[in-house]
Amino acid sequence: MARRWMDICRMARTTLPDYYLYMAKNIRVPSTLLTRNTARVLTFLAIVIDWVLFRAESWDATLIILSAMAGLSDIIPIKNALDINLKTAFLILLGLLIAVWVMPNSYQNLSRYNPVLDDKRLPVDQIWKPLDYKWGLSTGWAYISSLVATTAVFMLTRVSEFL
Amino acid sequence: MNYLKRFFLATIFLAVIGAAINYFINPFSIFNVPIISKINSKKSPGSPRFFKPLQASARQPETVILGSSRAQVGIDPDDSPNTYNCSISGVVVREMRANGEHLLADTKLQRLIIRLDFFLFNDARREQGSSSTAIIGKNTLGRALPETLFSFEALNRSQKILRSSYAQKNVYHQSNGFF
Repeated sequence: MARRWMDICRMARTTLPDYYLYMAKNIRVPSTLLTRNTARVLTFLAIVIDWVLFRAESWDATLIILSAMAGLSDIIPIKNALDINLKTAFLILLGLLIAVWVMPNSYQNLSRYNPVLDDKRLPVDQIWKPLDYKWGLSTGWAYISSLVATTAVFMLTRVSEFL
Repeated sequence: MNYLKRFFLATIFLAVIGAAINYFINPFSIFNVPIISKINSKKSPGSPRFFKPLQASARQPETVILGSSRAQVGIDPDDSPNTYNCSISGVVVREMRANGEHLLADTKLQRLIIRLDFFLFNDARREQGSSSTAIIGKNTLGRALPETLFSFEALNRSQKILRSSYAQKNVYHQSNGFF
């Protein structure tokens, strides 16, 4: 036990990816529906919270946003600052949650063309998403891609609505 | 190769369709297209900070009224020929000066009527958020094409204008800038 703790500490002092690899190799958690989904939710929450640190303008703003995320402040729709109301905001969030949890991400979407290098050290996990479509050089995907491209061009300039 | 051909042709096709809709509905009334009562008669162009400088460039007026909301609702440009009311409610004096310089640069202005209020000079007042969307200076109409033709905001306005024109709803916007 002590030896393992020392090992973990030594690995933690080196780079973080090595540490995670060590954990993944040596700590065995039985792969059941419960553990897999707990891991997914934990990862999702960790990344949602992490993004605040990356995107906030200052440390004060980070603390404000994090405390608001933890439910420590009331929801006050700010007039003039947001041209969307709460209902629209929740609808957008719902759409984004569906995109994250149900649709394949960009690597999965392009997996026919090997967009990332194989890393044999990583634990192999069958990633499962309900919508498992893959992009390919077909007529249908040409039209869908052109729709996405036009949407992107039309969203480049945003004239805000409020007076 | 077929994939790329289809992709680019479809992208250009969709962009041209979107731009054509925005051109013929003309949500900011800056293009010289006919007004059809059931299709594009009832305009609601959104923030005056965005569309008024553009309309001034499109109309090329000889006389322009510049001021705050009081001038916007108080001075009727139809009282004299070829006049445009470029007043914006809640304006601050820096913004007004920028609009004035835009008019001098991009229109054949003969007479500028400036109506000043005390609150224009209030130190605590700042430009409103939508003032950052304004496109001013030389060749404004050309530089504003991405916003006026190739944007979702313009498409959204066009869709609203189609609806309100079809239902013949009352709107307060007039093409001479008077409210």
